[in-house]
Order: sequence, then structure tokens, then C-alpha cells
Amino acid sequence: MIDLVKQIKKKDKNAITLLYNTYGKKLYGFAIHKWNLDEDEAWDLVYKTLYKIINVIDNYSFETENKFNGFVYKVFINNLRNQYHANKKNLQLIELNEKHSGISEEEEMKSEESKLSPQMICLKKILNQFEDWKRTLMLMKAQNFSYEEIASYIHKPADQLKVYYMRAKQVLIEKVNECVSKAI
Amino acid sequence: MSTNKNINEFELDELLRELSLDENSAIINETEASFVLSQEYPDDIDADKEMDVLNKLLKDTGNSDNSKNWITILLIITLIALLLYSFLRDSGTSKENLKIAHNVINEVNKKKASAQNFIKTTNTTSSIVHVQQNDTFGREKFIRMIAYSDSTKYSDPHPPTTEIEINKGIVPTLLQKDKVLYLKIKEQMLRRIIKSDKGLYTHVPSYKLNYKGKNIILDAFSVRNVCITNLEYKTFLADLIVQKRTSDYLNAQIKTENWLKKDYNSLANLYSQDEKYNDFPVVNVSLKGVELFCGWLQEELKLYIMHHHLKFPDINIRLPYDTEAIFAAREGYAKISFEEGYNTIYDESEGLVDHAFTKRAELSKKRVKRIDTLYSIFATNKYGWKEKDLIEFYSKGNNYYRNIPGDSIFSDRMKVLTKIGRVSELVIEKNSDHVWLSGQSWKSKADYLKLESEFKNNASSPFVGFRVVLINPDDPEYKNPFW
Repeated sequence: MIDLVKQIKKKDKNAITLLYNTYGKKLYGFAIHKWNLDEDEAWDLVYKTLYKIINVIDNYSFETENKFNGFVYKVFINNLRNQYHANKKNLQLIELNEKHSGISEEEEMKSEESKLSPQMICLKKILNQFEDWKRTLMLMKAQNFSYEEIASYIHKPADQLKVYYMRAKQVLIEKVNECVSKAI
Repeated sequence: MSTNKNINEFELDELLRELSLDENSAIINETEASFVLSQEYPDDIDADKEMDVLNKLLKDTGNSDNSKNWITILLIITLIALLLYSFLRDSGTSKENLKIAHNVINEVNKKKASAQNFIKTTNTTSSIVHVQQNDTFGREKFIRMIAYSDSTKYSDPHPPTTEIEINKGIVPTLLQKDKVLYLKIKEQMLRRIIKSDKGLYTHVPSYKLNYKGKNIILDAFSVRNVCITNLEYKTFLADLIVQKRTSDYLNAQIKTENWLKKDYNSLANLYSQDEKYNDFPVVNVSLKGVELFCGWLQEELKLYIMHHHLKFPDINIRLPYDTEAIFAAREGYAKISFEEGYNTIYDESEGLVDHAFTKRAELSKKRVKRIDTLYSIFATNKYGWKEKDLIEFYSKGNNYYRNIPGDSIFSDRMKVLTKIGRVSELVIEKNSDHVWLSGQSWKSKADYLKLESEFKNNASSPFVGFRVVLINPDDPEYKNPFW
């Protein structure tokens, strides 16, 4: 097992500090600068993620640091997703003057977990036809990564990405709208 | 965004953001994770807030200075107890207690070899055994220490067997966040009943039934579609703690030591405690505990109705009778696993049902097998399996719901996970004291009797859970006018 995980599994003061120093700051920065969360929300997510990792780490073993990174990231994204939906729901509630107040938790959860909007279904369908790197570009740009950052990830020139992204975005909008109108 | 309209640039971004979250929350994406974590983000962190979060983490994981003080106090108390113990031993007044301690130690030592959570330190004159186990809520841990001295003094060749008593007499501490969480779950449970949620409850109208060779009229009732889950039962236990009903808590607590008795050492620390099993059927609960649960749910429902000024009848909540279970199965209101071999109350050999029931059950099974892809999983009787196989089987749940079950009552997820964790259920034979462990199909009656004997010996079992029925005495169908 990797040393980092061994250390963290000790769950003492040093382990918690190590976990925070390795992941906490990065995740905070990611939440603030890429997902535009406010400070308190971002700290809350960092806390929830690290607390969860400490609680469940004994149930897992990791062959490489990358695998552990992936695990931490997944836990964080799950928390982020919940926060994102909660923020979105609050926004809708305000906009709709609490029209949703009669909906049960389960219906809300169903709408979150299983009911995809026609727009989302169409987007997924069309995006799946894209080449991998182009698909990644669209998803990462939506997360506010710069062309330079994405370029280093997908190994393509940043200038080319900018041009491609602008075109692809228009194509996506047209195709999604076309697909949605057919679906109605 | 409305469901059927054209999207603009901004909305496309929103959709893409949502999609990236959905995808990354479902799978482990090592490459993207390493990329995100390798980026440099502006260093604009508020040092005070950073310190607050770090301190909170240290505190909540038991690493604060405060907890160190408590450990010191605990050690001092232990030392005093040991001195007192030594004094009593020398005075020869507590020989009997020491024998019990000795037997407990022997039992614990036997289990220790296979249980990772048992740590033993020994010297020439005394032994201290630290028994460490997650509590029911899986958040706090407690340590129980038992000490004894020179074992040669207690050389009884046939010492009485003493059970390992890990949780007995200990009520876990609830943190404020636990209280808030379980209060939320309690409200969700109650609202499901008030809304007659079809995902969780099915109304069965009054009708006639051939039972023990006679035609009887069955009153209307609502049956739970799935077993009571770990999360629901933990909510009940948490509420008992909040209400300071210590004695009821001790009667109702989950007997996780049953897992240890079968050498299921991992499940002893996971099944009731880990949230990934939240939607699995609660097991290791006694009949007394189940009755307390039913009483609690009924009482809490009344209070909720009163508090919210709702017009809702008084509902009685209890375990199902065999008549209700048979009728619900016959009419297709409840699924049963009906296989070759022995089928407890649904088996003609027991004299409760007739051949018409068997024919009907076979027909229902064909239909269920056609439409329910999980039937084979649901019908698999896992009694006596090795722990490794059991955990592997349970992990199939994660293939259906990859995200760890959240802390919420969500019937779709409960339906799947209670099928994967399917166990026998407590059913009361009407007008009798006989309690059936029903719902599973067995190779032979002898196999079933093993479970029954185990349940009687331990008053609970890792392979027995329960569901409830709701009776509305005001339901016009409740009393048949001709009865």
C-alpha cells in the first residue's frame, strides 16, 4: 500500500494534517475558482470530503497514489454535486415562488437521480458522437479550466482548442435544439 | 430550465457542468483527479477559516486536545479500577466475579485470533483485553477493557460458557449532527405513511381467504413493500436515546455480536454501521425490539399528526400475521421467493395454505421472473454462506446504485437493496404464539429449523429481519359488514 495512505490510516493529528495539506487546499481552490462556490460552501465541502475519507479509508486499499487521488476526487465531486443541486434547487424555489413546495422528497430525488431532461438526454447523445479529446474539451471548459490548462491535459495546442471550442459550442446548441424539438 | 425548450449558450454551459458532475460522481476518474489536484490555484485562503476547518476535523476524528484529556482521565479511572480489583482479589471476596471475567477473557481470546479489532497485551501476571467496535451509528468508537490476573488460580476444568457481551449496557453517544440527521429521517418515515406512499406501502383490501382449510374474512391492511432498513431502525434507536429511553434502547439494540458468533468479523463492524448498508434490511433485532419499533412508529405518527394538525386516523402498526402475508402473496400484493423445497408458511405441508395457493404462487412466480430482473437475487437464500461470499453478494447493490446510499428514505433504492440483502422475516401466526421466519425458500425443512433454532437461542439472527403492516380501524373495509 502507498505510504500516504498508510500514514492517513493512522488517523492521528499528523495524518489528518497530512491529508489536509495534500488535498484540502487543492480541493478548496478547485471549488472556489472552477465552480464559483463561496468561501463557506467550499470549506464545507472540503471538510465533508476529508471527514468522509478518514471514516471510510480502513475499508479500502489503494495500489497507487493515482488511485487514491481518484477516490478522494470522487468523494469530493459527490459532495460538490449535492451542493450544486441544492444551490440550483434553492434558486428555482426563489424563482418559482415555492411552486415546488408540494413535491415530496422522493419526487425531488427522483427528478435529481433518474429523470433526465430532454436537453440532457440529447446533449449526452450528441456528445457521445464526439472524439474523446473534443468531448473532454467541452466538459472541462464548462468547469472554467483555461485553454492552456486543458491543452496540457489533452495534449493539443491551446490556440487550436479555442477555435474548435467556439465552433463545437454552436454545433452543440443547434443539434441539441434540433434533437429536443424532434423529441417533443 | 423548462423541460421542452431551446437552449442558449449559458444553458449549454450549465448542462455541461451538470454532466461533468454526473459522470465524475459515478466513476473514479484517476486521470482527471490527478490533473485537477496538480493544478495551481491562487493562494487566497483565509488562514483563520483554514485553521477552523483543520481543528474541526481533528476534533471530530478524536484528535483534539480535549480528547487527549479524556483519554488521560479514562486511563486514571482504569488504573484506580485495577487497584481496586487487585485489592478485592486479594481479599478473596470477588472470586465469582473473577471467574466470570476469566471466562469472558477466554471467549474473547478465542474470537481474537480471527477478529482484527481485538488487541491483546499480556505480561506474566495479568492480561488486558481491549475490545474495540464501531457503535450502532458507526461514528463513535468505544473501548471496553477487561482485566484479570493469574489464570492458574481459576483452573476450573469446565468453566461455564459466557457470551461475549460487547454492547450490553452501553448506550452510544449521539452527536448533534446525528440528532439532526435522524430527526430528518424520522420525519421522512412519518410523511411516507401519511402520504400512503405507494413506493413503500401497498393497500390490501378486505377479502376472503382459505386458511387452515377454512374460509376466513381478512380485514383490510397496508403492507410494507420492503423490509425495515438499517437506516430506519437506527433512526428509531437514535430517537430512543434522544428520549432517554435507556431501558428500551438496551432491549431494542442491534445485536451485532451475532455476526461474531458466526465469524463474520467484518460484517460485525460494517453491516449496521456503514452507510453503504443503510438501505439493507435491519437484522439481529429481537422480537422485543421489533415490538418496540412498531410501538414507537405508531406513537410518533400520532404525535406528528397532532403537532401538524392533520386529519389522519389513528393507525395501528405491528408485525404481519401469517394470514396477511399469505393473502398478500396470493393476490400478488407482495413478492415471495417460491422455489422447490420448503417454503415456510407458504408450504402446503404446514397446513396453512391449500393447493390452490400453490398453483397461484407458481403463476405469480412466472410473472415476477419475467418482469423482475432481480428475482434470482431476491430468491437466493444466503443462510450459512461464508462471509467473503456474503460481502461479495451484497456488493452487487453497488452495481445498481453506485453512489453510496444517502441518508434519506428513497423507496426505489430501498427496493433494490432490500432484495439484494434479502433475509427471512418475522411473521406471527394468528391466534398462536408461533413466530415464523418467513419469506425465504429452503432446500428442506431441516435447513429452516437450523435458522429457527439459532434465532431462538440468540433471540435474533443475522438472517432475520422484519416488515410491518398498518391497520386503519376507520377504513370502511376494515370490518366486513357481514362478519
